[in-house]
Amino acid sequence: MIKNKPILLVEDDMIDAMTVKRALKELNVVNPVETVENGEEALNFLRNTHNEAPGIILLDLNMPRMNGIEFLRVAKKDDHLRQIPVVVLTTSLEEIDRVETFNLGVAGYMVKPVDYKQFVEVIKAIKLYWSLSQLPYQ
Amino acid sequence: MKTQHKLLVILLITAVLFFAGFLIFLNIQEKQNEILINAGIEQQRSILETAIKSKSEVISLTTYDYTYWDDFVNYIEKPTHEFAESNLYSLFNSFNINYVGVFNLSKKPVFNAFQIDSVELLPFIPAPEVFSKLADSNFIKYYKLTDAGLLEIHGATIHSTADEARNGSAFGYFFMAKLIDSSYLKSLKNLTGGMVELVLESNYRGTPDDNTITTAYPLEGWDGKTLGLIELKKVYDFLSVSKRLSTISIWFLATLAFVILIIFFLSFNVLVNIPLSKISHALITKSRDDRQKLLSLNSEFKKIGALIEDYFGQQEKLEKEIEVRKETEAQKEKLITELDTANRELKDFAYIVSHDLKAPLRAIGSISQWIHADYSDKLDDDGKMQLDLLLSRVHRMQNLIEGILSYSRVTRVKEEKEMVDLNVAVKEAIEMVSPPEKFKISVEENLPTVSYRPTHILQIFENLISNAVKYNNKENGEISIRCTENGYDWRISVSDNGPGIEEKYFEKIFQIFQTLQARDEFESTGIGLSIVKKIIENNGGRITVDSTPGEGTKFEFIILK
Repeated sequence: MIKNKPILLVEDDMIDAMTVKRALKELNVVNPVETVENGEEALNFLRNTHNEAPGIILLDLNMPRMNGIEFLRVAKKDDHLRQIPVVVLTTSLEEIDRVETFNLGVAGYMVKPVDYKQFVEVIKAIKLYWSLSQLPYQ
Repeated sequence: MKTQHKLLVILLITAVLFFAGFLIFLNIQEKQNEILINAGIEQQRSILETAIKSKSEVISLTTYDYTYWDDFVNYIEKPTHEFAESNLYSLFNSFNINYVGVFNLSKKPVFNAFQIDSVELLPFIPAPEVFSKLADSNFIKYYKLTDAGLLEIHGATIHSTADEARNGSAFGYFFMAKLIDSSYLKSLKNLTGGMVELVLESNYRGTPDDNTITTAYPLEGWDGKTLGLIELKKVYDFLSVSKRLSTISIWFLATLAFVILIIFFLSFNVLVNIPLSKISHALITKSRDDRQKLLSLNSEFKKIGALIEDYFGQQEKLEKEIEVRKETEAQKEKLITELDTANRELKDFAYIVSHDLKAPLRAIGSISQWIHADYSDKLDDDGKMQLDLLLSRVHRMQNLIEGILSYSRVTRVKEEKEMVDLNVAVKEAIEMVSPPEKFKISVEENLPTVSYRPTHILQIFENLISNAVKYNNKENGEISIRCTENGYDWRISVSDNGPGIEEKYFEKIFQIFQTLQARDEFESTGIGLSIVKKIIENNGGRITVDSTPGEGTKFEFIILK
């Protein structure tokens, strides 16, 4: 993906995180992947100036402590964080989740397939989107 | 004002009216008495007058008879002792008189005798005015007071028998007098039947105080002066009877009035007042005892009492019914609340469970694929096949979970109804299903616009069309979508020329997770039709299926207008 900007993966399920990482590796994405387990940790990571700002955030919705929607509500009020594209990567097929996250300005909404091969296809789509999309500060 | 008070006032007014009538009655009674007394007075006056006249008539007739007699004329011319002895003295005894006087025209006495009980008294000569009056009228009657007493004097001019009419000149004057003595009064008493008295003055109008009427006859002198009166006092029993009668009537009527009032008041109290107060008391207290008393009331009030009792009975029944209904309602409400909670928990449960089940399922799927990829050199064909089977079961489980989620979503997700154009919705559904090109789908033109949740309409058509496509076993698959208007609803049918369904499965196909083919042969969750049925029934509609095995199936459902 673009340069070597890190990817922030907000995901509490270890195997899902592994799946994302494996898919990225399979697709020859070499950007470093930073994994945090919930919204709070994600905010902490993003607000820590020692950490490089990620090029994209892959966000799970159903997480302990602070879920994806709550994280988006905070992030989209933050002038610095608002510009980082967020792609929702979730199990939920719920219409309401889709509508709400798009209202909170997500760049994409991807449903995690059970089949790993399909999962790889989803990540491929994200990679494609990110490769084509321009970020505002670049 | 209470009814009792009003009644009292009415009674008082009645009493006042009664006593006013009573006074009028008394007045009439008094007037009647007065008339009676007046009539009595008149009668008594005439009785007295008649009696007196009858007595004086004897004398006046004798006087008249004697005064035209030729012998008497001769006697005045030449008075003889024999004539006086035999004739004139006989008058005293024959007519019970006290005075006889014969005068010639020069008013000199020819015979002049005055005696009481044959005792000669000093004779007297009438006043000269009496003679001149006699000359004018031929007769005179008057009273004169003498030392002996009151005299009733009759005088007449003397004529010859030839002068029967007494038109010619008189030969002399003749007088007879009777003393108003005790025997005279006694005979009057006998004639009148009352007390007779000679008095100087008299209240001769009479008063009924002692039931006695007093009348008087004036005795006048030649000059018209009253010298005295003969008074008649008579006791009349009818006066006392009338008086007594009026007193009795007064007391009788007063007592009667009083008794009637008391009876009226008491009977009103017993017949009306007491029943009414019982009724009002029962109505206020509503107690069963008071109401029971109403049933022992009399006549009309008994009916009212029964009506009231009936009314209260009904009311009690109603109250009881309401109580029971309330209880039932409360139970129902409780049940509904419980059901609601259970339902919500179940929905949440379905959502959470299926949601949370997906993550481990995905992990199993992913890892089985990784093993397949990473360790393919170490696995034989058997091992690989088992991993594939594992993966296929992961897929099936995922489908089942998705099925539960979408089934529960029908009622879980709240979406506003919109006006949905079925022409657009059906087209969209067909696009979503994307049937093979050789599949022929005919849709009726001008489908209606209905009020529905857009996703629900899509789900209905998508499921029905995809089922028709999925199970079709003919070379040229056909689907026909039709709509008819029927009163308050639309009837929409989706027919196909597929394998058809046996009638015994008509119910089963709408049940969740029920499929007619083994899952290994035909991958289906059996959720589609159950979702369609749930959506349609949630919107007040109904779905039915009709099918001839081998020829095709027709689903028809109702959408309310």
